[in-house]
Amino acid sequence: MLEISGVTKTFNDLKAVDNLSFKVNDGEIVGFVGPNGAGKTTTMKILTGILKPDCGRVNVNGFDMAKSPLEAKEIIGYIADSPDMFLRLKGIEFLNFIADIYKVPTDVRRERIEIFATRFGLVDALDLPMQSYSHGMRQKTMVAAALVHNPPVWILDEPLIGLDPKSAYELKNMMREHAAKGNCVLFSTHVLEVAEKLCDKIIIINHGKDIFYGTMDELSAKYPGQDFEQIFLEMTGEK
Amino acid sequence: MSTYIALTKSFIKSLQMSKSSDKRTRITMKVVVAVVVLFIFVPVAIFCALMTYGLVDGLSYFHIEDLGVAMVFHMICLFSLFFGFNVIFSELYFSSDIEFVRPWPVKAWELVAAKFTVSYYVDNAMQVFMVIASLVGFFFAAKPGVMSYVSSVFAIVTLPILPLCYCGILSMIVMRFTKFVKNKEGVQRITAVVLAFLILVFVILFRVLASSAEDAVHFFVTETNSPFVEYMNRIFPTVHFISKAIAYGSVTDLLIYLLINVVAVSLMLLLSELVYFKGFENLVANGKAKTRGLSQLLESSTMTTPFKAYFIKELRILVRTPSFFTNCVIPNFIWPVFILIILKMQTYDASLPALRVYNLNYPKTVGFFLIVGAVVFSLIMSSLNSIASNSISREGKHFQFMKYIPVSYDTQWDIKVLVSFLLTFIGIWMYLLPACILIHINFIYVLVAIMLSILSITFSSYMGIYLDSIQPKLVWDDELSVLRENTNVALSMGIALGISMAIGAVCYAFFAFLKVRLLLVSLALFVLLALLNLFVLWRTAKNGKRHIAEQEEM
Repeated sequence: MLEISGVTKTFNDLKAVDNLSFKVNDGEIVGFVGPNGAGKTTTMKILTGILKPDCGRVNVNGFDMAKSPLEAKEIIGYIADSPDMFLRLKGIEFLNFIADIYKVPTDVRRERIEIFATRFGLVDALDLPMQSYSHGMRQKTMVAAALVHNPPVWILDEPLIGLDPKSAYELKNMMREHAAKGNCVLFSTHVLEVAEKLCDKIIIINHGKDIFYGTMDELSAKYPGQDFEQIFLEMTGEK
Repeated sequence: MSTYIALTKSFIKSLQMSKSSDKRTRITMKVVVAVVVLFIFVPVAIFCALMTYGLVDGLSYFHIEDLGVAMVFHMICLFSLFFGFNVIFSELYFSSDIEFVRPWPVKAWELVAAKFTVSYYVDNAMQVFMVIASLVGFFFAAKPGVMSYVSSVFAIVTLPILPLCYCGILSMIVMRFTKFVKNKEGVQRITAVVLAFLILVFVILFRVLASSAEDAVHFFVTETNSPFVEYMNRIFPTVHFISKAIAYGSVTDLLIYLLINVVAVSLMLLLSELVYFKGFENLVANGKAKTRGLSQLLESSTMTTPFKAYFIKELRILVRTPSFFTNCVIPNFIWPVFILIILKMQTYDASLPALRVYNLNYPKTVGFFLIVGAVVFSLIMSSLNSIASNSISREGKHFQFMKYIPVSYDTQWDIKVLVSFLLTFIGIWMYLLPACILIHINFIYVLVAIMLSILSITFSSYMGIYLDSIQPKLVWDDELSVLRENTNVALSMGIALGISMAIGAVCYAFFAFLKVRLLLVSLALFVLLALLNLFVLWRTAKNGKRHIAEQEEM
């Protein structure tokens, strides 16, 4: 379970996140959508403990991020907005490094690395420095690294960017499998079709405020006869 | 031309450290700049001014004042060459913005000119200080006319142009015509070799200049046709003419000087049209290396502690990143080469048997130099390698990683200090300890020196990372810029140098003149270093973690 309540974050007098509250329940996939600069990445950074909110609370499976940050961080799997991380390391070194940080036992990590390497087509690349990877390969490695400790809470910042169709398909399936096991997934995306098809709930954010939080059915009921793209553009004032 | 100006503006803008909105941080940064100026720029400037004054004053008797200016200017040009090579190479071929700009309809000369200007901007602060200081020394020693002042202004602004042109031309030739260069790492290895060579030249020249001005005068007067001076004039012909222009107010020499600079820049830009873009053809991605199969990789995947894993990651980044390797790791292990060169150039006998005899006759003096030398050297080396003072900045775009992993900031901080400590300590004592054993220095002295060295390195390392945490340079273009454009690195060096000089001078005064016993000197050092450690640990506990938690630039 992931809960954010009354969170505000200001940068140089500009409110990037404005009194935001929502909850991602166990067993749910929640899509986080909004225009560029709406506050999605800032919110995700607050959720993962990277940024400290001016006010408000973040709760991860019962752990308060302000009071028990290490416990909260241990159960989060986070994919950052850029996959260009530790490029001097080989893929396998990076995965093992992350597995060590999250204290994944030897036999468990071997099993998971094998699964990720096979599903994402990373087998031939793992023994090479990540500097030689394409953007997509780096993104796949980041996905594998974020999930190698099998965290119950997934926070994914635009995880599908750069992934080839097969890998994107695999990741979407993994998100479904993960939620089906009673875990929660929050992911941001600009691809509205993906959010529409994959998510149990949608959060639409604009200027740091949530302008909608609910299921697709609830959204469609509010805007009868319009598709998600039209609704989104109307709600965010871009139409 | 407008393209060149637009490119230059945007490149320079992207280099600048962002200004904090926090008032306390802004004040801290002002203090940082003041300390850097006070402990690094000012001593170098005083050295240049005194050197020029001594040389010009002595040589004016023979009416060859220009040689005094020339000698110091040659040193400054070598300094520009030494530091400019890596900067220009990185700017021209490895900066991340290059790959975005190359597809644009930009001419090679415009891009090279913009990058050259950026390199000049980045690399020139210290040189400007040195040139100004030298000129101040000259004006005190000589009675120059108006033209000398005019020429001086040109020298301040343009002296580093020729050495930087050499760097640019050499970079383009290496990239275009060197077939064995396949990737960035290969090129940077070559850069490291060239740098090592330049360091040797610099050390030798420094040694010559560090001898008394009287000796230098003698050297010039008796050997005005010396191959050394002639050779240097051939390398930097601009120095010959600008020195004459400044010393004698010669307009012709000033014009020739300016003409040579214009020709050098033109040649570089002309060459860029011919070879610059083609030079990128050698810059290919790493070739497909022999890789292990999945089963082998999985077999080697075993669990270790987060502390050890983080420590190994830090080491791997330092060793595998050429800029960090050559600037942060290598200096810890090659310093004996320079000591040997300096010893070889001395007139006194520094052979092992002679040192043993000296130790036998003056064991306390040897003990004093070992103990105080170990403290001073440990302080200087641990700040000079800048492992600690760029350890937060080094994270760059990865900085947020420090914040979302379940490893406390304290632990990450300590690991970074440990990396700095171990590389410095091993680098110093892997040579110093065998030397002590070979010279038969009293074991107690060695033990005390090691203990004080440990305290010195821990202080310097904790101080370095603390300073870097206040306002780390997280936005950087390539790895070299995190070292060269990071004020925290210079500040850490400045403080360490200041403390080292103070410790060295005070201890020597107490031991040599006031005849204070070595035991008391050692005890005083122990107390002082313990207090310094406590102070920096207190600051770290009070603010270090907060600095990381509140750092939001990423």
